[in-house]
Amino acid sequence: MNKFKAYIKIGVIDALEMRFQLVYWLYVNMAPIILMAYLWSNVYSKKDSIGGFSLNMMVTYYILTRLFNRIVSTYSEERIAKDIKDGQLNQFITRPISYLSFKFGERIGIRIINLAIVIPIYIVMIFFLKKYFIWQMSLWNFLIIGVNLFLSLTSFFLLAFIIGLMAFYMIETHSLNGLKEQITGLMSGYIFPLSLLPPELQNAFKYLPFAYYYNFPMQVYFNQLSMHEMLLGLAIQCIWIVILYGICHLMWKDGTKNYEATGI
Amino acid sequence: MKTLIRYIKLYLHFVSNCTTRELLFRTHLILSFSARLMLFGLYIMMYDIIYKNAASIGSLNYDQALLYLSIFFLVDTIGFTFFIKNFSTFPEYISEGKLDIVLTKPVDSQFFVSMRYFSLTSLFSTLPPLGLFIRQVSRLHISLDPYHLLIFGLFLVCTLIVYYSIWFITNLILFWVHRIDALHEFFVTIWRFMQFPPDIFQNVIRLFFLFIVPILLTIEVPMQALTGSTIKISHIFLLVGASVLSLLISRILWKMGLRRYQSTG
Repeated sequence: MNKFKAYIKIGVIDALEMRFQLVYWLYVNMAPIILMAYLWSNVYSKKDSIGGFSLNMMVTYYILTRLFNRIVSTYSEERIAKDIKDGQLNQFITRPISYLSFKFGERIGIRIINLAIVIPIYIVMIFFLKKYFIWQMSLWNFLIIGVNLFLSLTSFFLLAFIIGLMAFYMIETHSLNGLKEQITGLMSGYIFPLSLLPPELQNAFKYLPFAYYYNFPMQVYFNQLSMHEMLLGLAIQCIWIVILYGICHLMWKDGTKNYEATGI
Repeated sequence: MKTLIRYIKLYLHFVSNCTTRELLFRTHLILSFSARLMLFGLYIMMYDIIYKNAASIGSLNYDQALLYLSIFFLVDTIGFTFFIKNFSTFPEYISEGKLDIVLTKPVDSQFFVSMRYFSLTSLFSTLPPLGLFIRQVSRLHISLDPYHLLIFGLFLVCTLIVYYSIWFITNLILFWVHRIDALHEFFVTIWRFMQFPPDIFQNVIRLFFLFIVPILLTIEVPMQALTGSTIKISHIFLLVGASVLSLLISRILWKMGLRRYQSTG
């Protein structure tokens, strides 16, 4: 546990060193909200409801999904792939440190600092958009969303870890990140709510991990799920975490066998 | 003229070098193409959802909106073909001091850092929007006479100049703030605002995209030229003016940046 605390601390220090970077990522994160607000307010000027979503629900959806994105998204894959390609992995293989735990702890540390900066800004934004923002949070929903976000962070990280480990087998992994981003964008409800998609697609996406990153917590937020559906959702997330962890474990075992300490 | 031919020859060498390299990583090529294709598909899906729910974006009908989207993605993929690899390499030049070697070469440094790399994947990615473009031109019964095509082409060149110049300028921030990862996303994020028809933007943001970051007319004016709609003279002036001015500013800022550059990185 002490080791894990140290990993988090490394992430915190790393994030503090890059304050400019945080402000920059904040801009990258906020700009699409502004774009979507313009788009949907134009669309809703001719129609009151689309796919069961009012303008207020849509604005709330985009603000909160972007906030959730700041909490759960991890972009560790590039660094992991770089560690493998440059031979930086040596220092982890030769020490009694779990590379996966180190990277996960580091990510949590970065997220903590990130959130300390991002949350106040979101609060200010919600204050300015309070005319559109729907506030309906019960304690129970808050708890479910909290658990869901932690599971999403874990699952998102494991997915990034798998893509990073692909560097054991491929020289260029950048394209895999791109593909992952587009798949996640569609299936998680990041680009638009999944309820706007045909029912067959919505049903299929329920069994994949992506829908639980953004669409599921928003359904919980809007009170659109029964208790049974909420618990089932969390259970599906847990199953996916076990599967992804298993894949990570196998890939790590196989990859380090062929890994040459000089890098790839 | 001699200098121009020399630069064209040099650029063709760059293209051949990058193409050979990219063809070595075919899986990467296919995956990157799939990612771009998916992104394009996602936006068509979004347009579909909006129009199927009997709504619309701005004043465009469904077919016009798809034509607009196809032109946006055409510009975007052409821009990516020429610049994405160059601008994502920018931090290496400025923050890591690799610009030294560029400055010693007998070639214009702005040309070198802007055109050294070429993306074959992005070139392939122009095919889906091109397909949609041809489909929409046919569905909207647009007659492609040489005059309209020429005007459309000229405005598209202006758009690409604005696209290049603003993207280049945003990268120059690195001369003043030494470390920002993925700074090339700065422009891409702004540019994405143009994936929807510009009449959704009103008041301050409209003025911002007209005069501060002049990208508001970059898709609309070429589209109007293609469809034969009336184009406001002021819009033509604004687009052409923006292309000349932004290119000039990019040159001035590059020179200023070079004066700040410390070769230690």
